[in-house]
Amino acid sequence: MSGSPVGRTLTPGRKKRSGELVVSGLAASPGLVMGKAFVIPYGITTVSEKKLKSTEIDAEIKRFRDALATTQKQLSRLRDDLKEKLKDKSPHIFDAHLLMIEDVMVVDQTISLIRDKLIGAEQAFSITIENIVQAIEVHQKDAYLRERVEDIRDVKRRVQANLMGLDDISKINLREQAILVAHDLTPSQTAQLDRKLILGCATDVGGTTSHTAILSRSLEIPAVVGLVNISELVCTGDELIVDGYSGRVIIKPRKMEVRQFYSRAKEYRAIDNRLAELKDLPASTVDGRYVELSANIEFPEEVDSVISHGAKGVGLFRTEFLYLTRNDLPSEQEQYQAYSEVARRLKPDPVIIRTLDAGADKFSRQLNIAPDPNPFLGDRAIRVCLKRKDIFRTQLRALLRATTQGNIKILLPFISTIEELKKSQAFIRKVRRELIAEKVPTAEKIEVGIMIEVPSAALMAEDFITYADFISIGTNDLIQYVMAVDRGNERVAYLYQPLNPAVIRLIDHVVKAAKRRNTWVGVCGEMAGNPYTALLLVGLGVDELSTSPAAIPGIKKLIRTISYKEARKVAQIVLSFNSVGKIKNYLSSRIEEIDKSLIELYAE
Amino acid sequence: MAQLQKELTVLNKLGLHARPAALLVQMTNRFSSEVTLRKNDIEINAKSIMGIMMLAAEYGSTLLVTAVGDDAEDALNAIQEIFNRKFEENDEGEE
Repeated sequence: MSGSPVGRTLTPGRKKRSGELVVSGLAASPGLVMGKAFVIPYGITTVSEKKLKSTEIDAEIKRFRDALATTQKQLSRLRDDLKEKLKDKSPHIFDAHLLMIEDVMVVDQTISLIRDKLIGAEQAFSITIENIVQAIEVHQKDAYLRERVEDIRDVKRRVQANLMGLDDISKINLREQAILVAHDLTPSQTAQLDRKLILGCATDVGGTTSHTAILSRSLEIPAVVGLVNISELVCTGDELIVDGYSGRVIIKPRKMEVRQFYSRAKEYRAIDNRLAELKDLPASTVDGRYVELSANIEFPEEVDSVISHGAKGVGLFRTEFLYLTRNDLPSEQEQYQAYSEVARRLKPDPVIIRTLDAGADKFSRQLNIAPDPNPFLGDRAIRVCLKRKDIFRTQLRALLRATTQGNIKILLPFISTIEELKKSQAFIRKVRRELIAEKVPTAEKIEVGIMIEVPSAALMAEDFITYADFISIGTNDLIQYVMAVDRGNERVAYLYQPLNPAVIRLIDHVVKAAKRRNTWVGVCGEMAGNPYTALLLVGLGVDELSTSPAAIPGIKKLIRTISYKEARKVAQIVLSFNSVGKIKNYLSSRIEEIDKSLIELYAE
Repeated sequence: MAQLQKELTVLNKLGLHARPAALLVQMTNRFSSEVTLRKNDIEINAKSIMGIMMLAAEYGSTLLVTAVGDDAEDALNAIQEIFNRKFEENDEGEE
């Protein structure tokens, strides 16, 4: 989470003395770490360097030609689909891409590099293309033509991906512990890395809810994002300090900084130890209001961390991990095993599993859907599932079967109309009847809830609740849709304001609706993991806060320090303010009164 | 075997970017003649799209086209035709 309760603007890196460089970005995951950098070059997943034996040359050349052939096939299909769709017979840009792949100059130069320099096809191809790109950039005065090198780079990426096997970046040789530095990390990149070796992350782009941030928090490693050009400033092997509390990265730190690092690291360890003592205590306010404090997870392996941080079950288990790093769809059995494992280990605590939230921006290849011009407002999550009943059925069968293994609840994402909700519920009942007919056991009572993350659902909460057993407010998306802001776009990230009065009043509206209907209401966004917003959410009366495992102890400490009466008063006062600035100031002063040590961890 | 040369001017506003280059390659590939393009000191194979892009031929620039082979004359005429038709790009020239 960010150091301050609201996003802040980015400041460019500044040069400091000789060698050392301090760059500021957004604190995306708390922690402080020092280590060697491992830079993932922008655009190319990686180019592994290898030295061939002369006997391997022919095989390497064949591998190169095969990759070209595969790329050609993929591109032709893409082009034909597009031409069909656009009813367009004129030459398309993909025709140019196809010609680039079979370009005599490129093929000849790559092969002679493999032969003469005994280097791998990836490297040889990369050198060839970069030489051409450079030549174009040098001679090119015309900005438009210079931009066109992106076409060449695009082709390069496609061929490289095929050379390495689709999505396969296991060839990133992360052999020792390192801090990942990248333009941006994608799920398919990080999914194949040995997580134990990642000490921290630093990226050029991204907000505090980007994939890098979420992954880092789930791995409990520090991360700083939005560093603008860190991937260009740092070379693999450089010493780095990543400060996920203040959002700073120090490149090649000098002795002074290193000394400071050690003393601060010691302080933080002491705070962590104090928080760890709370592990087995309930998250109850001093006046006895119990708040369920549960964890958000992305991978089944995170269960260890859920348990070790004293979370009460899982409030949000994202299921997209099943689709990572593969080209086909996960089977029912595979899914059943993943869901069962988590449920069994956390039994009797609840595990709320969210059905697939995929769409045009995620996993479009497996789902075989066309790219969306605006994925955020496009075909995703429940919208896709209701069209692709085959995929939805497989997941629901696995989920329903797994209900016998523990306390599983089903959560439907991105519901925006009553019709969607009714259709989903009807389909779940239908799949369940099918299982019963097959004599496959399921739990007697299965709760199905919905995410409130689209403003239409928030405004209609009371009506939606009629058809749902519980609701969970997904604040990350809700804020984006209420504020009309893409949190990943650092030019507008400052408008991603969890403490905006419009956001808070809408959440209040939803919680009140749930209370009137006696329905359980949780919050599973980043707001649940920040003390400022958590205090407010408790005061608004939510039943559950679900956040990253690492944030649980701090939030538990907060809850155990305050009284519900006091929190309610805070919430009422906040609801009367009309600007994010007033709300922020007020909450800061209240948190400071309540417990200074809480903001030590979150201070800028 | 004939060797013929001709000077041609790039008439489309956006210059020889990827798409016109692709069109040119598709055209020259139909002929058995070897075709080269020369701009200033750089000479490239006109059957290589990357080569054409390396020329960075912007609007108004002049290229020396050389065709060597049995169908050199036809090749050269076809190439001239495609230059004159501005690579079938309208002047707004957006892809």
